Amino acid sequence: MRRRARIVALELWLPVVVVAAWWTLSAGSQSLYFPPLETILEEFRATFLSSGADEHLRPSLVNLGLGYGIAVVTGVVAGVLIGMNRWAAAALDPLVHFFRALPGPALLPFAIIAFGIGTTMKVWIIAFTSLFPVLLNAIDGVRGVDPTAREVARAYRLGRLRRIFAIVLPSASPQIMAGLRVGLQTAILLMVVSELVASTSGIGFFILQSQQQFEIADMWAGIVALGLLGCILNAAFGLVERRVLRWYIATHGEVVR
Amino acid sequence: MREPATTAVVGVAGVAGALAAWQAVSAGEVLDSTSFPPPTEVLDALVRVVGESWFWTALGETAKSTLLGLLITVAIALPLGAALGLSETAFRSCRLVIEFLKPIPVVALLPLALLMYGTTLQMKLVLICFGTLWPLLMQVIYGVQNVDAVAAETARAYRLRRTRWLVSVVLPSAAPFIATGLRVAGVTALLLSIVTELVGGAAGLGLQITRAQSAADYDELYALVVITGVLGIAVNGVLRRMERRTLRWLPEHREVAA
Amino acid sequence: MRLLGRSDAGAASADAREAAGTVISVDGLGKTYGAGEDAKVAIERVDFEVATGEFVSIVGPSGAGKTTLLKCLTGLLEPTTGRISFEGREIAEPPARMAIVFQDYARSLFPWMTVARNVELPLLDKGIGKAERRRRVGEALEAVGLPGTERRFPWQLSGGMQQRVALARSLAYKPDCLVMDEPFASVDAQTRFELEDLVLELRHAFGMTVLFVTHDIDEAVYLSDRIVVLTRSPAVVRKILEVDLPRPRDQAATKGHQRFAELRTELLELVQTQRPTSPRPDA
Repeated sequence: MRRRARIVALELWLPVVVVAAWWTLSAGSQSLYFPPLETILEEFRATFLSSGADEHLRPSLVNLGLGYGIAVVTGVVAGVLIGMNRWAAAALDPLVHFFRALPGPALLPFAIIAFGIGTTMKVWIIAFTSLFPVLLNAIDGVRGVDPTAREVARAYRLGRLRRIFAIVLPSASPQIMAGLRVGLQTAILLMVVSELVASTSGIGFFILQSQQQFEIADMWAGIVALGLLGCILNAAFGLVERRVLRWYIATHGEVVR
Repeated sequence: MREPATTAVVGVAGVAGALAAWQAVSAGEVLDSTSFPPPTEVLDALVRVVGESWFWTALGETAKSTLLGLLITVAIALPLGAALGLSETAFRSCRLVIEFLKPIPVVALLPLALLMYGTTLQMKLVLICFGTLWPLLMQVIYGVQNVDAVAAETARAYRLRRTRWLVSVVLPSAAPFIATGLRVAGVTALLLSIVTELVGGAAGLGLQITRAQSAADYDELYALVVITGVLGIAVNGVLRRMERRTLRWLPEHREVAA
Repeated sequence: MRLLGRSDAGAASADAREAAGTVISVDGLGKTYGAGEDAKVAIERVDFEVATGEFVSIVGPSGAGKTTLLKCLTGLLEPTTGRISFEGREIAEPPARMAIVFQDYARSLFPWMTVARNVELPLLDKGIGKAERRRRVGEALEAVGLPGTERRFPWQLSGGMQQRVALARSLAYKPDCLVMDEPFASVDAQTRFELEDLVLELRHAFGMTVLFVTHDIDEAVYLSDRIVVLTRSPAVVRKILEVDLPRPRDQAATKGHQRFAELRTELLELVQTQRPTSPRPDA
């Protein structure tokens, strides 16, 4: 019991000290760039925790959800189909690798040309850029299914669909989850980037607007909001990942990095 | 077993097919061919661009910030990560702070960085370092923590001195983890560099892309995007090769997220 | 070539088996990998037959192509020359009445499925109802000595137990013929003896024909009615040994038998010495 308390204390003291230091050192600060933490938190509460949340938080989350969702479904389904077909995999490999390596934000001008500015453009660019990490990892995961597993499927004469759902998908799931993780990071990145350029809503837009109007505390509030969002989404993903890959963690000790 | 030659041929065929489809769509009536130039025009623009000096200057800027940012990050992450990896107390103290800073989308700091530093190299470096440090740090820590227990005991049994222990046992053991972290960091550094240029207006390829867009030089725009993609492939390729070489030092029991 | 143990304690059933006929017929089997200069002849020519209810082992030095032979026999690999018949029909794919137990249980059992699901897997999509499947799973697990493990996961079990699960999976399938590829190679010695006896029990209880690949000399002699000895690749049948030890076999009694030692020595010599220059399959 004492040992437990010691570990908790060890893990918490520094974060607490850092926040406390930030609070005290910035209290009553006149600096342009670093307003008092208290003010920041007040603005944060006012903008994001009250009814004002709808104005900026919701559009961001909706676009993120839609874009990432489309990328995940398309990526996994296409990945499985392509991965199971050697010719398709060979033909599409260079293209998939190219778009995976291309920094997503570079496509922003193209997206604006094609879709204008607005929700469609944002959802498209989030979906398109986070598709490729998912797709690439799904293809690799499917191709890497243990040959013994395949043999067992053949030896016991399992049907095609059964083979995919009972053997191929679960076997590839560690790699697929790794792809989903990278895809999430990409989606969040493009969500913010698309709101920093030619946008009228969203957390990114809020941060930019605050900066342009020298509402620095508001800007920081937006940064805190995004930081929290990033943390929460990652934590949630980690929970899901640990649940889905329980069997993999039990046999390998950790998830695919 | 298919030979690599056949795979390569099929791959080329795939790319050719995609280009042909692009050509067909662009030449048809579906899309405005000014905004969506066919691959032939983009290729022309590409050749033209590569001959221009502003292109190489811009490329140099992007490369400079990427490499410099990466170097700074590595210089901090290696010693710090090693120290944290070797000390349970220090690691446990810092873990939450790092885990909280890691998922913050660095792009959110772009407006602040612009405010503080303008569109300078310094601004780019601050963002690149902040964005690449935390993940790399964690990878170094994992690598150091995961030194093979048997190797560790053998070293203790032979009473190896601290420095030799670090260099001959810890470093090779942690190398695959570090190499993976480096690959991700390199790719992220390039990404952040482009973002600061494209969105923030700092010098580099990203800025040229924005310029081409405002000037409605669409074929140049597409050409620059393609070149950026190629740059991404190059960076990824080089770092992956390094990673693979270090993976050979230890039994390959890990898979890597693409 | 099809004679069974004469001094068989289960003589009545032996006669019945002899009358039952041939289950597997291997006729001029050959397998070559690759073509032209890089061609590797794994199996040059193998002929033998397996009668219903027999326990036949396949033994040879490492690299003898035992696994290749097994894969051809089970329809997982297509032979280059020759034919394999199972229950009178030529094999083109894994036959329905044949069940396979793989060597690497860690990779042949699926870690994301429970024990019950793993055992049940071959029964899916075969028109067998849920209740019937559950019954068979329960019976099979009972038969291998793992009652009540349905909801555990394979990785929660020891190596020996995992291999029992793999056995249970093949049993639930209710095959006529059980094919086992060095199933006890990755298991410790004590567990191996238990599993060997388990296989003999199951075969007696369910009346299956068993084809057993192994590199373990003692195991082959202990378990089998006949042993097919292969040479190193390009493999041919060196000899087919009759194992005329009494049944039921017992780890202590049978291995103390003088005949056991003789057979063992003969088998060891056959496996260890070089192949003869003019190979001919022994009748």
